[in-house]
Amino acid sequence: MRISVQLMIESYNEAQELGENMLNYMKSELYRIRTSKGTYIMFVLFSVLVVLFNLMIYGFKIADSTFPYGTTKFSLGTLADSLQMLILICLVIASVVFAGEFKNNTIKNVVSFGISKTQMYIGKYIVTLLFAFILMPVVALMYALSAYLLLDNSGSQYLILFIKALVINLPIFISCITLGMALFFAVQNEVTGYWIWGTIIVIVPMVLALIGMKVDLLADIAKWLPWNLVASGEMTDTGYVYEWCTYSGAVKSIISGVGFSIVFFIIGITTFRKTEIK
Amino acid sequence: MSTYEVIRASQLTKKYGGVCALDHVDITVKQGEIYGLVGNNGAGKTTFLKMITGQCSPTSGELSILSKTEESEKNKARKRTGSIIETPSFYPKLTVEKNMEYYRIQRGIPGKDTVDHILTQVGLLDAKKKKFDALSLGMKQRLGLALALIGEPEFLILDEPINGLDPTGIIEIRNLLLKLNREKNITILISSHILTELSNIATTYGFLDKGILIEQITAEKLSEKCNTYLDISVTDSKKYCALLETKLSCDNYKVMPENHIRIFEVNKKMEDYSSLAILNGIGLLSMEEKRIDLENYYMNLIESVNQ
Repeated sequence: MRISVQLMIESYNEAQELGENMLNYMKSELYRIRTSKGTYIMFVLFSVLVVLFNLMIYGFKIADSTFPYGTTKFSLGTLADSLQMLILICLVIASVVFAGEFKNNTIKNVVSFGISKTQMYIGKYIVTLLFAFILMPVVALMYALSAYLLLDNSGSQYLILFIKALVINLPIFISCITLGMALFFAVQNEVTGYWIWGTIIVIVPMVLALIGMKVDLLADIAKWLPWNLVASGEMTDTGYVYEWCTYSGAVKSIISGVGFSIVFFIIGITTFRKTEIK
Repeated sequence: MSTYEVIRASQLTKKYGGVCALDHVDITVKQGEIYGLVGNNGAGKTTFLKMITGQCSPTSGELSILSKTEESEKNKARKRTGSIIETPSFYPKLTVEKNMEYYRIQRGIPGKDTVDHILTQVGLLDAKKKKFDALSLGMKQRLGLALALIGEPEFLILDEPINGLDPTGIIEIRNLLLKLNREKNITILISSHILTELSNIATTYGFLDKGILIEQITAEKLSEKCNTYLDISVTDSKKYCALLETKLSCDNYKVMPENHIRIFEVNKKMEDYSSLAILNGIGLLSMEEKRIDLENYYMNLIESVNQ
């Protein structure tokens, strides 16, 4: 009894120490992100882009009183049509947080201090997601706010659609970030990582969808891939309705996002643990 | 005071494909030592150091760090070490101060003034607002040393720490390392190409060549082996050597390139050696008494192994 209590205390102390290591690692990463110019440039750039987009629509509206697209319906609805662009931005987010660790060879400083590769991988992953969870609402807020301030209010249903597009597809965005991280850690070269990411996320789904027009099995597989999933839908009397807007489509989106996140995470962490640090 | 083994490598081997970077190496570094690892490029020094820091794993053999052999225990032990492996690496667009602060937080070291204190120790306080990519090579090296020292490690692993430093910097770093070793009993494992500098501080040497540990020897024993010799330059070394053996009964010599001869057992007067050449029609170009230093010792060792 005494021995098992002692073992429990030792295991608890060890777990506490491991947790402390990872927490310190995450704190340092957050410090680095907070003090890097690149972080603020990214926030400002994306915020400015979305505001400029709405300013452009506003400009057209002012120039032509019959301009039919000077509305929040058009502006916020554009996001639903641009989810594939948001997927591409996921790679940028992963890249900003990853910060060229292998190019700068800074990983050796972490490993040589005894922080395990697992702790490092998980820590950086959590920080990347935190960064994305802060960036996304800030930019989304700038987007929605500038739309409502500058354009004609078409009603709250478009704001709801805007929020739905972001929230339902969040697991898909997470899976794309996860793949980016996994590739950067696995191939130890960001440029190669970009190419492989682009192939897996963009090219393969497009090719499968194309061939799927002739081969049903491939079409079924293609429909579950994030790049195709965010854009799939059907034309109805009221307009194009995205699949994720429906209950079954939303569930499919979430399952796909969560599933791919888990797979990419496991592949990434397993590969990195076997990698030697140059 | 009993000393323990800070590093114990037993039959440590590392292979990269078909290339053997380290071949069944046995190295022991005891607490309080300054262990100088000596070897040419490609000898396996950095590979060995990377195994200690966890950057790569051995193909076979055992490695214990601060008496720990199991990987998770070794990771805990690594928290009591500091290291510079190859060129120091930091985030190029962050300042010296921010880079150090990043690692201070990462290593859970309390006290915000720790960074200033350590930068002062390595002579970088005035440069703390400079970005890393704007630093000179010598300053980068000092920053690498600062990172190794932050957290007051018990064991330092330094791969060519004086690369790029000016003479003043070399002296400063040498004095710092000696001070840390003497005052805080910090064990230091240091690899360097600059053998003269290593000979100023090392207490034990390990000589590596093509992945094999040729010799491990204390500075004391090395000093005993490093005796003086007579370096003679003649016009006909073959004839002179024959005369050395027949006339002076001397066979403890070595013929060097360009008709130089090193005589290790000098038990005759200097005039005897000079007159041996002159009286037998051999031109005497120079004669000088020299001492085997670490460089010579190492070169002789490598030569004898390769023969």
